[in-house]
Amino acid sequence: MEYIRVTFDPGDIRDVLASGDIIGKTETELILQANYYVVALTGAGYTPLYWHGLVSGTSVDNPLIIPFSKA
Amino acid sequence: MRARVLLPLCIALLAGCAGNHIENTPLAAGEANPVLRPLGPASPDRPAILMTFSGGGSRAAALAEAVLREMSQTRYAGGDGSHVLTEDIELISSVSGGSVTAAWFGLHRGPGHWDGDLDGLRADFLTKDNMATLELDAVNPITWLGLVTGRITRIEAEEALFDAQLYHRATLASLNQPGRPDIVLNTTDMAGGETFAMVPRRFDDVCSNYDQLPVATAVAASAAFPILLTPVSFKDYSGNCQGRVRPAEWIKIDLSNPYTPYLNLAEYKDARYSNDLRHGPDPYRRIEYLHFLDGGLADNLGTRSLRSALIAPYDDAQLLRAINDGKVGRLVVIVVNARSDPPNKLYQQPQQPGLVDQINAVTSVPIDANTANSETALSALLGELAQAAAGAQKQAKFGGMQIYGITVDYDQIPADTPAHIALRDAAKDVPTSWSLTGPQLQATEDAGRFLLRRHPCWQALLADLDASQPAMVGEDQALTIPCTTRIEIKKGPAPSS
Repeated sequence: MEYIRVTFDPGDIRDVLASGDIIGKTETELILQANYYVVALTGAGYTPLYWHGLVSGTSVDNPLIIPFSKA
Repeated sequence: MRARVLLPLCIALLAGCAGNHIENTPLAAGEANPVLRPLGPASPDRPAILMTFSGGGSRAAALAEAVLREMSQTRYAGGDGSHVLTEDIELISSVSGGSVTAAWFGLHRGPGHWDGDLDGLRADFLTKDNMATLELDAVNPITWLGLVTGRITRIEAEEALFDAQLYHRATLASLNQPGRPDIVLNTTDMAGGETFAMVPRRFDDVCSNYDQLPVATAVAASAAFPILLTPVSFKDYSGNCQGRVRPAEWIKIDLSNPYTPYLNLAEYKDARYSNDLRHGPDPYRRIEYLHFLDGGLADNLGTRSLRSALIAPYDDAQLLRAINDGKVGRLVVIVVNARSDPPNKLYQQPQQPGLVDQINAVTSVPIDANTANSETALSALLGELAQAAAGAQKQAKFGGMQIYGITVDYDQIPADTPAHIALRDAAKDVPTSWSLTGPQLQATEDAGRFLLRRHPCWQALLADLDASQPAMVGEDQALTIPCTTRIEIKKGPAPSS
């Protein structure tokens, strides 16, 4: 099991898409299987448009942080 | 009994030229396969129960029925009122004989019928001599003529039995309704050896209409025991698809990076299969038609589809999202395994086994062998989820989720008392057939009740819910073994940062 945390704007919680499917929300730890993912948010007004890379070797104490910010 | 096996076998050999009946219909222009059953409990304090029902003919159907009946009589008080545990069944992944009960339960469970009208299943199927019905049909000269000429196929006799006695022309649309449990009927794609689950996303893959397929056909496909029955056949309509199939970005991503085959081989194979079915770029196999045999050939426990529902982001169940959103406080997984181990005369026989014994071995041994692997993979996943929930930081909404992994398996009946030995021997002696004698049905139901009540994780679930169930005559003392998938959450001070 792998762990990520997608950050954006704590006042604007968005759905998180992993390779096209919603897996949870921003600003909270999410579990998913090890893989290569393209991560994006629902809606518009964020940057970058997507993050892509490996989600592997994380732990519950050390999740992968994937940051997005307001465009 | 021997005649009961030999007659269908003779007909099977005689009718070697099978027909070419295509059972599925294409998606019409603009048509889609919507998923109308979002999963997730009504409130986090109520359990989300996922189940698998194995194959094993009427023995498997009866064992699943016994477990469901026990759950339907187990009551607890939730934050929103009193409930029985069958209300909380979110998904059943089933194979072969288990699919008979899963489909029945899916069609009948609802307000006022939270037990899924199990008495009806018992009266209409489990207590009937269904083999006699099939044989009567088979000795009808008109049926023979149809079989020999290929005008009708052997699987149609089974479909007709299921339809007449159980499903009464219901289609998968009747299962695909809000408030219904998600019923995943699993078959085996006999050309590729893949599990083909009868779910909307798979029907998208072949551009076929999910809702229109008769339930009897889907169950027959799941229970098309090789050699004795002909396969159920589908056409892959992806070549000129006019329907609105859901986008599947994950397929393209999984197949276009070099990492997925190493990090997640199971998902890579699933992506490759979906791509082939969709007639996507660079196919691994060129698929125009699909022929389905018993789902037990690929996975006799039905755990592959349950695992996908739990953890795959692209699965119709969307359960991973519900877990990450903190909607699942108690996750219960119940695996009902009806594998029997009847006495085998080959152990006492010096002569080399003949053709019938060999056919029996090549159709049964692989099914039994893959069961252990499926169980191990699911147990590992539940263990990982339990660890994740136990170690989660306070921001994680899945933190504190309790996991209860329950297996109902004849091998768990102890040999410590004469009563237990008698129950074990009676349960394991029930053959794989569509007919059960009264004592065989009774032994199977007794074993189901006994095994569920005895399981440490069932007892932990009942204790945590403060649930009650009717007393059973001669019930054993509770085992003092901990539920290994349930990890006690230690409450400590909140992190300072």
